[in-house]
Amino acid sequence: MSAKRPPSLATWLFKHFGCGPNTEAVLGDLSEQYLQKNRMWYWRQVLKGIPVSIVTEALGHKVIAAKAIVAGCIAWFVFVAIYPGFVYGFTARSGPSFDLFSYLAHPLIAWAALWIPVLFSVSSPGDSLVFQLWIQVALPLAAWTVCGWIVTRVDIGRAHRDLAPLFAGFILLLNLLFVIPGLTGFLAEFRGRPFGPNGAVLSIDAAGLIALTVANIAVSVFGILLGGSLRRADSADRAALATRG
Amino acid sequence: MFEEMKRGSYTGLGQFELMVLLALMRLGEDAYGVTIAGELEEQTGREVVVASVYATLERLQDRGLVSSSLGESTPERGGRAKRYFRITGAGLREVRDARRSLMSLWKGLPELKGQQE
Repeated sequence: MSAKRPPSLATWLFKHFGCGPNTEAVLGDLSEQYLQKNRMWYWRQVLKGIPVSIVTEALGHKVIAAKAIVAGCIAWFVFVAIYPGFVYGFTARSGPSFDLFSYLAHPLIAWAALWIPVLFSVSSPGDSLVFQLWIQVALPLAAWTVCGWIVTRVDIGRAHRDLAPLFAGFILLLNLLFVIPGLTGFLAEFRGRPFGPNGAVLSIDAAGLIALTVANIAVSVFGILLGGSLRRADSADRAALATRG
Repeated sequence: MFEEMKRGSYTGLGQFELMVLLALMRLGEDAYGVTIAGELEEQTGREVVVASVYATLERLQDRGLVSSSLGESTPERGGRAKRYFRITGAGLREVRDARRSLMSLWKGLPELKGQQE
């Protein structure tokens, strides 16, 4: 008789999003209890357990958590500052001259630098799919991966502190609390009208904009976790080398 | 305890923290995630999130109220080791203090008279 195995996706989620030194022990306990429980119970435990572990880790190590979040945000804003150059420079595209700081001076946009990639992609609807994927997925994914990697370097030399999931959780929360509601309001005010120093026109409908935002959020979370996993692999390699030595 | 509160050194125990410590005392040597969560569910009749139990235990361990050690790994745990927890002397004192203060707060309340204690 084969053993009852817990849902692998839920296990993967907890392993990669869960924070703190007890992740393996919790997963072991869940696997053991799962023999008497069902899939719904397992999923409930994982979906409630992830935010609990992130908040516990953040509150337990406030200074490190704050440093990680600040480092990640600085890395992201550096990317936002050089992003237009990447977009127009690497594609040899004759884009409008772009002054980020006057752009950010707009009161409605200043807080929303997180979704500048979305604005870029929607303000040029005639572009090819490859170009859209480049500016909307590939560049932000690479930037978020670097952010995830930088965030985990904040705590270099310490074990059991998975800061990438913490930063990913912070970005997710920020998006849910501010960006999605903000986008809806922004759309209502500016659809069909020029905005910003470039006079871009927002031509996309609400559903499309929300879909792009959700895609951006997914890219940000995935990128940060990817960057964090690079750091973990790096540490594991060094530990293995040290053991061999 | 009230003196400690006046001095500002009293940190106290939250309700869930107290429940976890009491579960540890009931379970003795066999206290690890599964058994602690099971004990809490049995006593409270509510589903317990295993990660919350660990979060609480980590907090209590930071305060020196519990200690932990790694145990054996079994196939049904996917090869992952158990983590056993024990209440420390300081934890026991904290539970006694909590009991004393709760009992004194409970005493003489007309709303609770005639109810089973």
